[in-house]
Amino acid sequence: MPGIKELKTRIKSISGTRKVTRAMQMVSAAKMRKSQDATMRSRTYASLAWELILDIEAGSTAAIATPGQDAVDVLQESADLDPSSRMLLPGMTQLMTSYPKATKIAVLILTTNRGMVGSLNSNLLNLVQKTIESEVRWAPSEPDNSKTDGAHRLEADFITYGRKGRDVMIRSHKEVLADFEKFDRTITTEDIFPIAELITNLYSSGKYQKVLIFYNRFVSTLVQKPMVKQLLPFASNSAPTKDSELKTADYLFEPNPAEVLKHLLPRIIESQIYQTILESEASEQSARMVMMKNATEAAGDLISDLTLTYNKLRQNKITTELAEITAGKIALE
Amino acid sequence: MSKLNFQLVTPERTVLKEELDSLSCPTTLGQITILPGHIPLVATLTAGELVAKSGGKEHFINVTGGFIEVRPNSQVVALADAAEHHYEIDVQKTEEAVKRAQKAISETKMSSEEYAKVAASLNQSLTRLNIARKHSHRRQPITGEGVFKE
Repeated sequence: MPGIKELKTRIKSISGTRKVTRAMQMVSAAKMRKSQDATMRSRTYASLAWELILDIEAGSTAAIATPGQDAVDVLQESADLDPSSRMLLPGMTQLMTSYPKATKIAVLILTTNRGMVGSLNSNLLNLVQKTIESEVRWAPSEPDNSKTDGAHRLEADFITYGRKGRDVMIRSHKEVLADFEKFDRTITTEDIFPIAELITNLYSSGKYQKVLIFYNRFVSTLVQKPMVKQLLPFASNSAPTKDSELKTADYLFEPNPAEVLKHLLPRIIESQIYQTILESEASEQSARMVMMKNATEAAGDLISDLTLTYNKLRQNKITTELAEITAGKIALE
Repeated sequence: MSKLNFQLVTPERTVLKEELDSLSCPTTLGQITILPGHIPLVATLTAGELVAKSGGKEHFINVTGGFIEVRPNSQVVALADAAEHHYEIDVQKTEEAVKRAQKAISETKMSSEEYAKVAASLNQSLTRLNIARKHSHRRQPITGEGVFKE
């Protein structure tokens, strides 16, 4: 049983902590509302932009087939020769090509700068680990190197955004290509440009098979879901059936494919990165708000518990003192 | 008669989502009009006025670049960098912006990059002003704030 004095100090320190967590809850709640708004507002744009590029990608394979049978044959031939040379429409940039022979994948991880977000970061990093392990065999640490099939041995390079992700990656000695500082203010599209440029350059170099983004998707204030999104190549892993492809395909480009794609592709990459960052931000603030709310409530419970014990002890003490005084008085009479 | 299933979105909001009879929009190759049953198309939008007609109703919307996609089955999606209805344009603010830009162009020395930036914004402001003035006689409800923040 702790003494009265100890109890008093504990109650005091807990109420101090409660003040801090309550303040943080208020701050996060305000930020949360803002970031949730921003996320929801731009979601339509991002998803429509994504659909657009998938449509074009799906159409592009068929577009070359439409001029005539010869083109199909040519495509077939070139595809047989080298699957990596899937140059489709004239003017398709390197971004529209896929590089199945590349040996690396690039991974962009969006985490928070600070903790106190519950399991938000650790859930995400677990997902990273799991996905990477299934996709990648670590070349240096793989003991039976000889056994692994050369064509499937992939290496992962990491790009981090947010301090937590960077720290974990450095601690576990992963290859970190770049670290982008996460700002505490609301991000603007200009902040995305360097990230988008880096990713574009990496992918265009042809060394990377895929670019993945790991982020926390904002579902609701209480639920955030760690997700992985394949940014590049645009084609989804599921191959659509040939027939439907031919029907929906054949997009007309104005003025011409090269010109349109030159503007369109960077914009789409930016919008996707921007959206995932917004989602992460909203998730972070929501998670922190909920965590701080829980902490404040827990502190309240603890305080009322301790106060009860304290009062009981104090009452006990008074009763004992009274008994002693009475006993002393009786002894004197 | 079939209709166009049209959606105009910007990164900030959905500006218009409606069934339309026809849609005219400014592209790099000039003004184009899309009617129901158009073949799939992707085009680059430039700054200008987008006119959406449905029944007797018309929407006049200022857009500042972006993309337009016509999907099969008359689905039309416009991804604009920014867009606003003509009644949302703040004429006074836009006039001020025009004056500022004109002053900047005539008075200060700029690198070609800066010049292009100012010229582009001047062009946009002038387009907005044109659209606002052209339709100023139409009475439309005034809704909150515009998309633009100068």
